[in-house]
Amino acid sequence: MSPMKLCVPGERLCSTEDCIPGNGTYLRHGSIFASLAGYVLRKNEGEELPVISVVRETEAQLLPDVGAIVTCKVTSINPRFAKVHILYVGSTPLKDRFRGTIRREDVRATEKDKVETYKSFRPGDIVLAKVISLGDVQSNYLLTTAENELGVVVAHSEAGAQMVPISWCEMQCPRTHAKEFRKVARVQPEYLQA
Amino acid sequence: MAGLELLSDQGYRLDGRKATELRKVQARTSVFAQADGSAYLEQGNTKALAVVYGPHETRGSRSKSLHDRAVINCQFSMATFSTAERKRRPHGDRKSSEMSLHLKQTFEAAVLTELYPRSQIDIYVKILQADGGNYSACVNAATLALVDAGIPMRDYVCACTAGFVEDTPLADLCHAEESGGGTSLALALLPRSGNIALLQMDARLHQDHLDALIEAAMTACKGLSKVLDDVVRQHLEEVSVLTRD
Amino acid sequence: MRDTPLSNCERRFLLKAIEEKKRLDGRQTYDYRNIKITFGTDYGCCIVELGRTRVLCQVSCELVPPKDSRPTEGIMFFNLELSPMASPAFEPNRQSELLVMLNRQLERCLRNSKCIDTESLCVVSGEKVWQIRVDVHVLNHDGNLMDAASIAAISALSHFRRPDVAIQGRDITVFSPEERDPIPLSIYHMPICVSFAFFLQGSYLLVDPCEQEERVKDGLLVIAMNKHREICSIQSSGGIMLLKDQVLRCSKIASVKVSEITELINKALENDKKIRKEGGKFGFAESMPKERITTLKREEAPVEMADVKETANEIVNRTETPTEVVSSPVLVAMGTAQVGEGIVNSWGLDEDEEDEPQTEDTKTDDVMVISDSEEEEVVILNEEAQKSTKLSKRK
Repeated sequence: MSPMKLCVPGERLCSTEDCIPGNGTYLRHGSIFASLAGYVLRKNEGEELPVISVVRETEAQLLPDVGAIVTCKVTSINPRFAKVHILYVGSTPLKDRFRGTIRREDVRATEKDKVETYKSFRPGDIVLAKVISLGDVQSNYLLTTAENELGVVVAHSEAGAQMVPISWCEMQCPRTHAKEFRKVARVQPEYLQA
Repeated sequence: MAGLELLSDQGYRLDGRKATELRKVQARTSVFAQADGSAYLEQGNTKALAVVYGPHETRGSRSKSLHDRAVINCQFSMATFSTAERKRRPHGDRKSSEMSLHLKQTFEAAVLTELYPRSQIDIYVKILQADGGNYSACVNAATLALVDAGIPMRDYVCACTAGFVEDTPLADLCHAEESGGGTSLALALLPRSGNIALLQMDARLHQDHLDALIEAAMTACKGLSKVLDDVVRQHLEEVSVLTRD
Repeated sequence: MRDTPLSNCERRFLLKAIEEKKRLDGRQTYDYRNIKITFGTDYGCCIVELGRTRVLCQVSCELVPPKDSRPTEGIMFFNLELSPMASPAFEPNRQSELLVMLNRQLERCLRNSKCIDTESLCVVSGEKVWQIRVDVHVLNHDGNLMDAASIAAISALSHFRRPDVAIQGRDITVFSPEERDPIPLSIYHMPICVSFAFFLQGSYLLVDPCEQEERVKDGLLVIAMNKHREICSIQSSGGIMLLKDQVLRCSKIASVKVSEITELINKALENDKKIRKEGGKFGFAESMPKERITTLKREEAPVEMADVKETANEIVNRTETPTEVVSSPVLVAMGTAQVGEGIVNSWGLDEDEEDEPQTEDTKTDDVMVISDSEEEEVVILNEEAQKSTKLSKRK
């Protein structure tokens, strides 16, 4: 590997005419400055200008942003909403859990008023959801599972075994063969393990 | 003040330094594993430890969070064994509250807080041994900790104290020089742009000497920033060597 | 209770005005508001009014054992309180950031600058010294509390007289004011704080910000100086980025302002001394003017009268002349008269209303009914009398 250049916060990397600022940089007076301590990476996007960014070994804390797909664990349910702890943003694990809420009307895309949270999630389920809002002063992150690919991915039955999805609204326990209602995510077959 | 000559005839100070010489600075980053960023800094005999957590969700009352940027929460405290007399109240008294407030304002100006809306960054600084220049050591240690945590900043924030004795500006005061009753100026600077983030001065100084004093403090800060720069680069190289192999 | 937040339009308006170098009360960038210093009947009590900001300061003293590290020096204790009467934002017993900042700045400005000779406060070395306590209370908050507090503190300290003491061996006798005249404190110099508020990332600065200007400021720089051009303390807060020449420029402005204010304080002290000597009445009650309507009071607002005459003439020439006005009242009916002409009634329903307002030609027989209500029937009283008056008029 060719030795990459080290940079520290406040160091001038180049001017705005040469590159587009990427992650870990900021603009000031027509020049691009580094804002993190790490290695300078220049990537050619194929467009006019390359993107210049600063990378670190340990990624800095990512915050869930609007539109990001997050993996969360259900902590409590309520006839109106379900409270979750956000564990992963995309594929990066978070060091700290963030709190989120999935409202009853955001569980499904169709027939929103006929949703029962007890039949969609249970505490302890791992759910794939999308962030719709950062929330205001009172509330936490608002999430939605109103898409085919979003919903419960891993759930345990009342007997304690990991359940297998049967349809978009049911899962079956392999031990007791009892069916339970969940809002199931349609995961691509190649990601499913036997 | 009798008997203590802050500046001898040959130009030597109490600890043998020249007027514009800084004390020896040693620093290490990533001293704590569980914190997001940490640093330990020694400036002469003053020892400071800084720990950074964040950015994370606003703890406590959610009403404190700002909708468009991160809130920086600073706490400054001195260990009870840090001064000659045992400190009875390490934090919560007015001086510590004021220092915490100044640290918070200094870093709010330097950190790019717009990238982290509705979250909180915690900075905890503790002085383990106080020998003059408490505030400066805190700022320098906190800068290193923030860089270590990967929080984007505009520039380093370097701080240093300066004093004035017999028409000569002194850089980097120790405790005896500070409490001797002469002037002492604490300055926090962003070295590349030359912007002063914080300026604090006590005791009397004639207006005409102000220029020279600020100049001396700024030069001292720039020298200090080089030292911090070296520490950060060295740490980066060490880490990269470990992860490459 | 929390203070009402500043709306976005107010904020924008203030910032835009500052860009155009205009202030809400018409001051210039470097102007102070009116400062008024009054002293109370007791020594060491003073009220300072900076515009509408009002601050009260009281100095008192007592004998205490000294600090171990400094056995031959007296003790100075400063305390500033934000009273809830000053602003709805101040709650009692709440340690807010503003309180901490003001207290520390006051302490730094007065204690570290050694404006008072503490060695003279020593009575018996190592056993008894005077502790001077300075209490500042904010009575009304209209911006720039720091300056007002520092002026009040230093004026009160200059005004204060401590009781005289006599030492005989180990006995200390403190004389009351009647027995022996109290002694003033020995003050070396008078440090006064000047506040500079920065706006729009440090491009604009204002001296002595009022409350609304304080809310939109980016940061504050407080410089404490005395009239000998010695800087006693500098403190920048608010996280603004300053340049060195900005600081130097501010210090130059501060030196000018401080000398003006010091003169004001000295004059006030002189006045008070003179009045007391002459036996006249003094104190707060005297300083408030009596027999004056204090409510409904408006301060004089300066109005730009530069080319009033030319502008007025222009306006007069441009407008058209008004129509002829009949000034004498026209008696329409008994009990009603008309002065001037009304405009044609445009509420009109499209009936035959040839509303030619009263001229003696039309409709002399009937009484002109000047009402456009169709529902009510207007009953005309005293028809004979009207008819007779109409006939008489015609003649």
